[in-house]
Amino acid sequence: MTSTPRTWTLLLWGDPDACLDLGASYAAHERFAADCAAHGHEILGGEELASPSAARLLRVGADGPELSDGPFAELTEQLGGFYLIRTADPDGLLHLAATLLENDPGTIELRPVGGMSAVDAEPVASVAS
Amino acid sequence: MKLVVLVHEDEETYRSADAAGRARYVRGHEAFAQEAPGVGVTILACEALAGVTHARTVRHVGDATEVTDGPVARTTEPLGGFYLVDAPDVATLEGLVRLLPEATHEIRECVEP
Repeated sequence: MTSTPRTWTLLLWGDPDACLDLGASYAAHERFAADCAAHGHEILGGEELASPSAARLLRVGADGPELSDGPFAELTEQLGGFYLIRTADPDGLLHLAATLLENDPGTIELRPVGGMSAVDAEPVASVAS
Repeated sequence: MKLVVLVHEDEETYRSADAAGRARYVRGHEAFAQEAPGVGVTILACEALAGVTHARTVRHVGDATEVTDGPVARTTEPLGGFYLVDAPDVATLEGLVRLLPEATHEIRECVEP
């Protein structure tokens, strides 16, 4: 399914120590970038995050901020990196992204940007096709 | 150094907030952006993500790839957005993050190529 181009975040979740082969993983990301270019998915940016073991957490609550060492324990998989990609074909993008999991087990999540107010008016997209 | 602030927040907090609550939320983000340059922090990128009902997920199950609707993590505080910044150090960014609205803010370093 294609639609109007919009910006999506591709979130790469996983166990930070589970990457089997770092060289193969980086090569997979290079292939992914080339495949994106060939299929009209424009990569706007992306970052690889350092280990969550060094994360700092700041809980801002009604009683003021409270600082602690991370990672964010509510999650079983930690964010390892992300891409920002502009595309009209999110399903195609997600299937390309699946190749990144071959060398680096984990889970990939695709979500549009724009905040809650920007998308509340739009129907929820479905991949059940 | 390049750092990210991952904003983990309960979507319901914003959704159920009244006008004053939503204004306070926006003011927190505005204060963060306004104070950043004064302490040497440059915001390189920032995005608010659509709610988790707009997420779709792909994972490997055995040898097959499975695509489903919904986010990876079913948590009360899913990732709601992020800031990508250049900051002099982590402590400076910690001070600035205190201005952001109620949420759990995770500060992580980026891997420089």
